[in-house]
Amino acid sequence: MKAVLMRMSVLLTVCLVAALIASSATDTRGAAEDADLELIPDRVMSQPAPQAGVPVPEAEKPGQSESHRIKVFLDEAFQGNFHRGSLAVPLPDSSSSTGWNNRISLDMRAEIRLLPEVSFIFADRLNHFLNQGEDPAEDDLLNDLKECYLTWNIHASHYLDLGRINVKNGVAVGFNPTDYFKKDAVRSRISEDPGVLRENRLGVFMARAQGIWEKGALTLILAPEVSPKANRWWTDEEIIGLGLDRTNRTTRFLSKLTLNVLEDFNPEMLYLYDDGLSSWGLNITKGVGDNIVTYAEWSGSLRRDIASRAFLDGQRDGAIPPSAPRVLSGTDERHFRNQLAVGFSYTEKVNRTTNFEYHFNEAGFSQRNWDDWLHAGAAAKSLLNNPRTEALGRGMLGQLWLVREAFQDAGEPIARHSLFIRSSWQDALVKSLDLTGILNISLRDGSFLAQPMAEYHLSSSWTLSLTMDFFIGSDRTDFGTLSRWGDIRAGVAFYF
Amino acid sequence: MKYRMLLSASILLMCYVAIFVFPALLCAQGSGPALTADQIVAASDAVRNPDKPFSLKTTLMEYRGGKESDRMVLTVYSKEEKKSGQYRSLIRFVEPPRDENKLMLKDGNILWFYDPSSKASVRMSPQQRLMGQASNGDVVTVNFHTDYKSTLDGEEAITDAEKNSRACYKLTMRAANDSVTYFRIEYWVDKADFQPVKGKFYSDSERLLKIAYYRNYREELGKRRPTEVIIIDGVDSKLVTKMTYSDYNFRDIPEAHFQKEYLPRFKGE
Repeated sequence: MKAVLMRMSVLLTVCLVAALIASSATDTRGAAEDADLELIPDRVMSQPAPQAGVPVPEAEKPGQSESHRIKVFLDEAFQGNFHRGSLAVPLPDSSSSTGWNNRISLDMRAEIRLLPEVSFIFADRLNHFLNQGEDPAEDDLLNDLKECYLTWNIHASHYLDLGRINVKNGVAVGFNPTDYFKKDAVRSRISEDPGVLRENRLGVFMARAQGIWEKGALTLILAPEVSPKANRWWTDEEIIGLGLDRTNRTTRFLSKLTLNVLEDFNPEMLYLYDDGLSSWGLNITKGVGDNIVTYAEWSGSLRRDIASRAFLDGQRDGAIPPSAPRVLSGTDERHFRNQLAVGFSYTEKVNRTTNFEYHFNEAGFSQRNWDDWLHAGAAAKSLLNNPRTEALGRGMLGQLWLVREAFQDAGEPIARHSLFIRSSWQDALVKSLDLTGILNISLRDGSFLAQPMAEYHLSSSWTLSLTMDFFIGSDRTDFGTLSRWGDIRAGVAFYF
Repeated sequence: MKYRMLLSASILLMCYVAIFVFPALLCAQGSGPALTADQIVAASDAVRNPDKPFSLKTTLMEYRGGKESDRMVLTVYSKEEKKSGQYRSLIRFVEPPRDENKLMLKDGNILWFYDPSSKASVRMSPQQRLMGQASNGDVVTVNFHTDYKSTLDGEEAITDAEKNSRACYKLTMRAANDSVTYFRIEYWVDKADFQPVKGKFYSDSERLLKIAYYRNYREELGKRRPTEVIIIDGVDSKLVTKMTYSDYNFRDIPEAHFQKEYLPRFKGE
């Protein structure tokens, strides 16, 4: 009996101790969690939170919005240029190659509510250039009126806009085949970064109607042709001229339908009618997990060969005399040409996002086009040595470089096949330092553009930047034929 | 005699357990109608998020080694999509000046970033961070119960950011789909009022990404809601981000406004 009692007592004691341990376990786990509190600095806890329930400013009350929004910044950039000693196809005017230049810009964007349903949008950039070199007679001051239009909220989410509007289409980063209003929109090529160039481009004079619904949106745009009459404030490109003849060369009609019917599938379909020629476009994006976004942008256009287009535009603008023969063989026939940008972005945990894109431009230079261009360039070069044929040689070179500029002005790669990589790293290595790298490789010849850029945010208002561009390749390649092999640019921006 | 003493001690211990320990254990397991983990998380979501469309100002302050190193101010407009139970958000950047008036749209797993300067809408991934340890997924309004499968681990008494002991439900939430920002979340919810107290957020490789404390509860839009979240970096614990919420307002936000095409039109109404 004693033995039984003893065994029972021992068993009971073990059970009770186990129960006591179990009951205290939750508290032990909670105590372990409390150690995390030690990681919060006193300063974080001591700063008072903003007062809740304080009166909301008049403009922020529900149903209303601010009467105006203005953003102004000053941007200064000094650039040193490095030129190649000799070129396979020389520039027609070697004085356009300067060793350095300087730009200071005042940029302003304003949105002003005139009436409850009517707003005025204004975006302008006043540039001052030093030693730009392209045309000594050209003014050092250049004002780019980027946007100036009225927007009327007719009803619910239906709008009507009129004026100079910067309309940007496309989901890709390096090349936007469906960005139909990009041609000739950049007057000052201040960077090789497509993103920076987009901030600096002129809008197109247009009337735009837009309806936005839960399941999609429809946009209709009519942009009329503005004839290139000289000495008119709306065309003249000197200082304050609007240059509307530049952005409105032809009458264009664009319709864009965006559908939002399926989850994570919002295709965008576009149709452009441009001076008798039609283009169709498509934009699609798709997310994969929480760090990858895939996208594709396609456009198919019935269009002329770009060499022919450059020749006709040159004759129209007076850059090519009417009697001048065509240097490059080409046809005025219109063919259906495809353009494609397909790629994906990948975000890493260190907050670095990299875009990888493949670009296809059927309107770009084929191997035969390159051979023609280089062959004509060599012929023109040989004429420069003889005073009697020098003018002819320079005229030929002018035409050849006009074709290269035509690609640049059109915002299209000259290469038919290229790879584009852009990597942007926020808070890289040290706080407030952003690093960006761009690599654009021509798959025909392996030549490439590389642009490393560093931005350091000194404060919320001041940003310092250092950018380098390298155009690398042998003397008969896409990037190797350019007059500059590199440049370095130091900048400072102040946001008011 | 020795055995009697042992028996008496055992009986005393039993009485102690019967009076003090078992009731405590019973309470810990939850008496009355048991709440499911999903119900607790949904009730906690309702504490954080108003049930009608609303806007608020979010101020993010980043601290490194205890000193404020960066600051960002956003206005967030959110509306719950009744079908999915998830929020869609429009975010306008107010500060710093270089980012002023930039916009972000979140509709499910789709995020668009719009810059009025370039007029370009760029699709971005939810993992892209805004500032410090605050990701896009942190600043937008999120209902956890729709995107995570929850299990109730038990109950714990933990100390909140105010150094008060709180009796909490301890939950584990696992991602129900691959579109969410975090793979797993440990979550502590106050038993009395379903106020979230603390969260620990993990990656798919089970790495601790961040620890969050919810604090400064105030009466906002009809309920006591957290007006501050303190986020501690899971790797670099010297990096702390404070998110402060203010200027709560109910807003009438039409469905059409949660479209990429609407971003250039957005005025903040």
